[in-house]
Amino acid sequence: MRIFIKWIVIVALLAVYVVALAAVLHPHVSPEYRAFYISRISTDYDPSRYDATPEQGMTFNHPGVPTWVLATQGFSVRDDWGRWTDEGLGSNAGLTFNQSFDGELCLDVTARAVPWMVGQMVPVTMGGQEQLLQVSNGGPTEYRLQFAHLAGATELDFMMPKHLPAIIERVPDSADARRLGMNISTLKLIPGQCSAPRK
Amino acid sequence: MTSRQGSARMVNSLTSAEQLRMERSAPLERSASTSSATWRVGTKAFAIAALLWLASNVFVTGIATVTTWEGGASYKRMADLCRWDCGWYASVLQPGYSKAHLDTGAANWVFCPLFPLTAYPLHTWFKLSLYGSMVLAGKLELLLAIYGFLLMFGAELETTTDFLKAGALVAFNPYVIYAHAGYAEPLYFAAIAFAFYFVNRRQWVFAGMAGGMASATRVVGVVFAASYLVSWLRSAGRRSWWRKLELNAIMGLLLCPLGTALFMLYLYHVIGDALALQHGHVAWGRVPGNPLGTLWVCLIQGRWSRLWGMMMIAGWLLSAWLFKLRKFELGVYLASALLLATLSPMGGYWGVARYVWWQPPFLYAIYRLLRRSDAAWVVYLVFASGMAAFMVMEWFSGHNFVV
Repeated sequence: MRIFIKWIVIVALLAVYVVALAAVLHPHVSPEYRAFYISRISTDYDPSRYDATPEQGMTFNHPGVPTWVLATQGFSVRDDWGRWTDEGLGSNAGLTFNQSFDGELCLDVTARAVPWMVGQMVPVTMGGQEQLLQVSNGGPTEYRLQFAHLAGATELDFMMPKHLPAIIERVPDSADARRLGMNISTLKLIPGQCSAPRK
Repeated sequence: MTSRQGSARMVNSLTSAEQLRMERSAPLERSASTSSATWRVGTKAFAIAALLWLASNVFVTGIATVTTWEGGASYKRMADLCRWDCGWYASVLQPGYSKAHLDTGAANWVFCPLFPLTAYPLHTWFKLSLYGSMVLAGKLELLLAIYGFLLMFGAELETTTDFLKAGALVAFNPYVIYAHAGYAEPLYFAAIAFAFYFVNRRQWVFAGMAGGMASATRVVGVVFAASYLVSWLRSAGRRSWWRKLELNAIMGLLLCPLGTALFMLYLYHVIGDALALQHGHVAWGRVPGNPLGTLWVCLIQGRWSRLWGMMMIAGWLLSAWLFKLRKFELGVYLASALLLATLSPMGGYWGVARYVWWQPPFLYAIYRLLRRSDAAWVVYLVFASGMAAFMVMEWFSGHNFVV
């Protein structure tokens, strides 16, 4: 009888582990949860929203995201100036919008970059179109990219170069193990043609 | 037959009867004798643990009070020691696990439930403040931790001084602040120490239960299953262990990770993600990485990071030494626990001190090292209590290198 009870206990314990394994393999989570906690391509989970139009833009050091942004990916946490792209969070950094963009659009981005990215070309894609952004210097710079004939564009991506070094590999005193590329301060989506960047 | 021969035969006959009687009664007497010895060791260990526990409390309270004079500490009552993770553990008790999280995504899912549950009676029945009950629960579990540690290798301790020295390694641990600040470390340490105690006595189910409690206190407790397996295989012998499948031993093995498994199922029920306890670390910037990379980063950074890196190396060296001492189960545990700590880069940097200094095998290895020289004991205790005092002061300083 005692042996029988022991076998019952053993089978029950095994059943717990089988159920736990099934639970591990089949999580029931939202796409936002998955992006933040599991695939770790976003550092925003269920962010607060603030009122701003696409023309007014997104201020990256501001807590939360504007109402027209659904999700972010590939951006590290906020700092005083903006948010860095981090290759550790994915090779692309970008935004998913909760509205679509059509026609002509000017992408106005103010960003700075790590010194080893100066001179490199960064493809920027939106609605299936690609424009190139050449990193002109490491300091804050305003870049304007023209997109034409957009049709239902809901995503914007900065295709960062592969195999960026970790900061700690280039700056020995640093404790920063992130693979940073560009730090974006503001991003605006202005309908129509781009004017010349302000000097 | 001569009278001498008859007498000799009678003596032989008596001797055989006596021997037979003695052989029959020996197991009972041995058992009674062993039980009595176990009781004596247990009583002695508890008395010494209580004494050292009081001393540890006086020490930490004294240093915390002195820190208010010059160090700017806000220590007025016991609950003031509850900082950093203690607040997270308190949030497990109230309001409990839920989908709620901070803007950064930080949530209490990464904090295992057993430690806060032990504070539940203090808070609910004895009406202590939430933070006060967390701190008191941790302090009471320190007593268990010292007691469990003394029992764990009580057979190697001969004199009262030996017991005092061994217990002092826990009571005046350089990072003893964690035992007085509402953290899970003392409960985890106690559970692991008891698990090793029972596994050494081949009390498999009790060992499994203690291991299960450790895994419900901190996820790293899961690795006790590996130590358990090593002990089981060694006790059964190399060739025939599979022939002697003991059901109790199998039950014990299956109990070892039960705490974590049940917690995972609970999180699945609440959050929808059984691995939320691991995934949640991403909010603190902790993602799995290369342990050697973590160690390298620690060593090249300098200051505290370098010290933590050296602690990691010391932990691995002592783990290897435990293997040399043929304490395989202890060596396996220490090596596996450190590996788990360093798999998470940020955990490797900031949490390594806790992973190293609150492991029974690590302190056991230190005991074996120090046993060789009385002078070494003096040097070590000066270092340990000095560092413990410094950590208490820094606890109130607002620096996050002791979190």
